Amino acid sequence: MHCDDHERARLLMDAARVAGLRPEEQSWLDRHLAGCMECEEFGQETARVLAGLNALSFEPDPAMSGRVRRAVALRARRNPWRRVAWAAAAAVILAAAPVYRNVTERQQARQDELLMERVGARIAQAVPEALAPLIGPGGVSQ
Amino acid sequence: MPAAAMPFPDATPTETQRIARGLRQKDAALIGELVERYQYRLVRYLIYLTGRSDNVEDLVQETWLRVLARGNQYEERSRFEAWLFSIARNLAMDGGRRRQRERLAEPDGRTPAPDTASPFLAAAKGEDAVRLAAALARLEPACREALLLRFQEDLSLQEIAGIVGAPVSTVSSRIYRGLALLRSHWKGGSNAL
Repeated sequence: MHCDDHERARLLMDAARVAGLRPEEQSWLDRHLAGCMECEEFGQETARVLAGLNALSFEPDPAMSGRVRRAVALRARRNPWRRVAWAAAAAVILAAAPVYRNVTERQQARQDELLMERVGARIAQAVPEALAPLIGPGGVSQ
Repeated sequence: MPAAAMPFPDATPTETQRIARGLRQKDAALIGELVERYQYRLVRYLIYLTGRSDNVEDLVQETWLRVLARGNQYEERSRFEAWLFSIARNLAMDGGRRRQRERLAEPDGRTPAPDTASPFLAAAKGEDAVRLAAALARLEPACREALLLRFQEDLSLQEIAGIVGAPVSTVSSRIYRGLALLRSHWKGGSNAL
């Protein structure tokens, strides 16, 4: 066997665990391991490492799941439609604000126009009345 | 291996349909059932990912609240745990970035004392397990995460790639690297004894 065969065998052993091997690769590996104690030991070492991972125990606080379930139940009980209604009302107000402002501005502008017309009319009436004594009945300024 | 750690056999279509339907309806009772069922595995995943246990309960709770809020996004053709872990991962990453910003914002540059109690050592029973736990604590979180998802959660490379947001090739290399480092630390430890 060549050194490369051992390296190939170790790569294949890892690959078998990670993603699986093609049949021809598995056959080659089986033949190699049948005659190589060193690589066989490498495989067993990897198996012990992985078994060791499974032996670690991360037991959480037994009361944790109860606290988490209560938090979820509390959140789920909030009336979703109330939030939808508030959101809809806010959207209506926000959408209406520029429209209201536009309408108000136009109304104000129209009122300003009417006022100017009245002022203008009063001026048009008042000026001749004020000048009338100066002009006299014949229409010619004395 | 603790019974709670065993991954369930591939969920039948009926089971994933039941879960998907309950999540769409925001069924708190169903979520409560899922909390119990996945408690151990979710805690273990978050410890592997973050390397700490002091904030695990907060992350677990946030994960399930997000499951409740976004249940309509679960696609029943995928395994529920894959979706659950991806949610937990995003929350853990967000929390890590926030803590890093807070540390940088410290006015006098103080950094909070690191969590020195290794959750991996706390999980170890026996001499060999202690040696392995020490090796595990020294791994990069990405490698640790990939090892867990492949060998203890029995997820496919494609499923893992979907959870971590990396190509399958990257996931594969993390697993190979993690295996090599664990073997190296394991042997180094045994030689030292």
